[in-house]
Amino acid sequence: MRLIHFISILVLIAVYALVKIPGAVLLLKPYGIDLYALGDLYRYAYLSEYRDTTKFVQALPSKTDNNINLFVLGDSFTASFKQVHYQGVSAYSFANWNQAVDQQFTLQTDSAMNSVLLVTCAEKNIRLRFAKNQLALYLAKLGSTGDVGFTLVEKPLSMAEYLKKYFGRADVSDQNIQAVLFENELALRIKEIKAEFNLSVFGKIAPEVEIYSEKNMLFQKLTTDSKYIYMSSFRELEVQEEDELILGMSRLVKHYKKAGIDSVIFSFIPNPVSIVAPQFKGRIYNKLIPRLEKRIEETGAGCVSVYDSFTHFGEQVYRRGDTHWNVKGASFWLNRMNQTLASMDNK
Amino acid sequence: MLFHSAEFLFLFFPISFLLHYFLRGNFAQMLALTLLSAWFYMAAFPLYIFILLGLIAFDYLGALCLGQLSGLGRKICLGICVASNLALLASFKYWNFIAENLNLIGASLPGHDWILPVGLSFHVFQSLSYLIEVYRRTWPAERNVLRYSLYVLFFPQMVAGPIERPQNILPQFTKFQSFNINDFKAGFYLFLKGLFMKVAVADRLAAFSDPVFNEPLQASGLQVILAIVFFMFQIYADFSGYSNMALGIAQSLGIKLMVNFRQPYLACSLSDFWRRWHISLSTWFRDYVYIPLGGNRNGIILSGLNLMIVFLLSGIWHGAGWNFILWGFLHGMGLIVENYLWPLSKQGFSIINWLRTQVWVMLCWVFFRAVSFNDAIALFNSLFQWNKAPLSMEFTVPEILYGLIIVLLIPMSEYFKWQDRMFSKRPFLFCSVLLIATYLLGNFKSSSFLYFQF
Repeated sequence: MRLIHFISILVLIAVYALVKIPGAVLLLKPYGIDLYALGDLYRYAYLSEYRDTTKFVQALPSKTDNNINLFVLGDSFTASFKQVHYQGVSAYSFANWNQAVDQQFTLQTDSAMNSVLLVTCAEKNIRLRFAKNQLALYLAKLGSTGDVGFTLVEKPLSMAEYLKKYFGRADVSDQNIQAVLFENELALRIKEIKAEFNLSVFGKIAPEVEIYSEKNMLFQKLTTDSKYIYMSSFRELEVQEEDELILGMSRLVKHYKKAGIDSVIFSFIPNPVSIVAPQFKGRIYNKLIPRLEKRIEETGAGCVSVYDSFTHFGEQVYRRGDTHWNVKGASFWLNRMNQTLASMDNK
Repeated sequence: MLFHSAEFLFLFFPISFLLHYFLRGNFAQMLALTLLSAWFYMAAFPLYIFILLGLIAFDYLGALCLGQLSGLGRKICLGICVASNLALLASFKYWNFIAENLNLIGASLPGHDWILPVGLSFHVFQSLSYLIEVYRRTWPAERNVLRYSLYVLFFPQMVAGPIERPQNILPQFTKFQSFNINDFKAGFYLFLKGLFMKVAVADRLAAFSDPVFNEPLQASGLQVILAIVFFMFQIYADFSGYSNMALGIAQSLGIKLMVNFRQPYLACSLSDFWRRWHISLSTWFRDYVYIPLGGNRNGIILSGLNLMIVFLLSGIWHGAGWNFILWGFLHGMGLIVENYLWPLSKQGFSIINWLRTQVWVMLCWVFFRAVSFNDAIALFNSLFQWNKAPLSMEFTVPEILYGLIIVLLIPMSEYFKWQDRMFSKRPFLFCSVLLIATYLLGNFKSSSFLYFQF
């Protein structure tokens, strides 16, 4: 009897740990579906026609020897690229904007190498990240002293944070449980039935998305509705705000050049709606990207621009049920980026 | 932790259920339920468990003293216990309101930004109920500290009631029942019924009423009418849904909690309404405030005053704001008018009495739901502005029709007892249909329960 109790307690502890620790549950679902791979907007809407199962495979560039030390300050668009994807890069480090909000990064350059900082930013985040106050926060966190590359320094937890992490994270437990129970083909089909029922009976879809039936795509509501001040492609951009953004970008360039970076390159990735439907529901695109790219020289940085080409390609460079580009879009951007890197001089 | 969250449904409840029935011995079962309840509570603000444990320890010792003392000492002891409990509640819930209002007349009291511990009003009232019963010698002081802790912490009812009495619940913790399939079935049905009311009724209706109540100046007359009607049913579905879920969970563990709602929107008088709405709170006020004040035994004026005191306190209990106080005042006034000035024309069900009662209840809800007193007035102003451009809302016409159908179906279904009759005839079929309907119509992304804020 004691053995049964002992085993039961061990099982309970194991279940508790699996549910409470972020990501631990992945141990249980080797065949689980990675829902983000099906489309991050599909993951909200669960409408079967926007499910995208194409694999995201990126071709590697030919090797060249430019001796570049590449630092990338990026987001989900560039997070999946590794050193091998960039041409002539001998050292590489990546920092995510999102992590920079609550964690500390340090940066060190090597004087023997050509240090290049690539700053990529999805269009929906530009106004937030380069706004005066927000940028100051980022620059404080993305420091200029330290040891190796962008190094993440974990903050120690306080007692209250510790208790919150292990008892108060209902969101983590809910996500983990849902990952085990409801992220499989059968559960997805059931979710799709509900989504289709709500669309046909109530004319409703998930509040996070909007349907663009003309091109059979989903758009993120944050980028289509002008009530969202920072993220919407249709929120009017005053000249004063444009000046402030350029000023913010210049501050960032100065900050890193002072820290030993030789060149800074900006690359802005357009919201799908800005490219595919710039007049979505009669609204007018604010032309945030072309306006900033036109003035990029004022910041003292270079630019890898895809805006004009993406406008030409239209929906071909985006996934149907996702906020991100597809393989074609990513390859196009990477080629442009590698052309820029190839054109850089060795030190 | 919400009853309709994945963490509760697929982790917390199965573990609780298995531990409760597989553990042998009352002590082990009680210990397991107490620890699980602490885990349940800590899902929101872990550190606040220490406040609750402090409250439990204080009241446990206070009750032991009450059991030993007599005469004036006993009264003083009760006074200290009640005052301490109320002081804890006031410091979290009412301090800012008191300070704000006193500052208006020249004081300079500082405010604080403490987060109100979930369900504090419920814990305090349940603890007071125990202390008063011990004082009255209608229930002995509990010597088993674990049993008393479970009385306050028992997870199905700890955050939003029902506010239990020691007579009902402590004996059930003395000897836990063994597993009973009928209790489990009835508990499952109650839970499912509550879940449907929460996710397929309350949260659906909230999608319409919330924007209107949050921006009353922008809404048109028609939107205001719909929002008021929808809120009336939203709050009922939300709170009775929670209560049914709590009752169902407890019943599946073999514990019977007191019923909190009995078809309140069928009431034909305000007194009848308060016998049907949030029964555990209204009977608490009746037993521990109204009757000790003299009830209706001291003439019209004093009886009316007693009624008013009870309803003002009830308003304050619900929230620190003038709108809640006004809500309580209006109900108190309504009852005084109904009892003494304009008595009902006849007893039993009458359409006129029903309409008179429910329209009054509905209008009172406006003050209850409005963000502030000024917002309530703004909402009534908008009520008469029919030519105004409507507030932009993401609510489709079929959703409005669904809301109206629900509004019609709830009272009818309760009057004719459709659900209960279907469940008793074809339990499996009915539960399956209810489950599918809950899934298809439910809004599972939504929010906490309205009464958690109290």
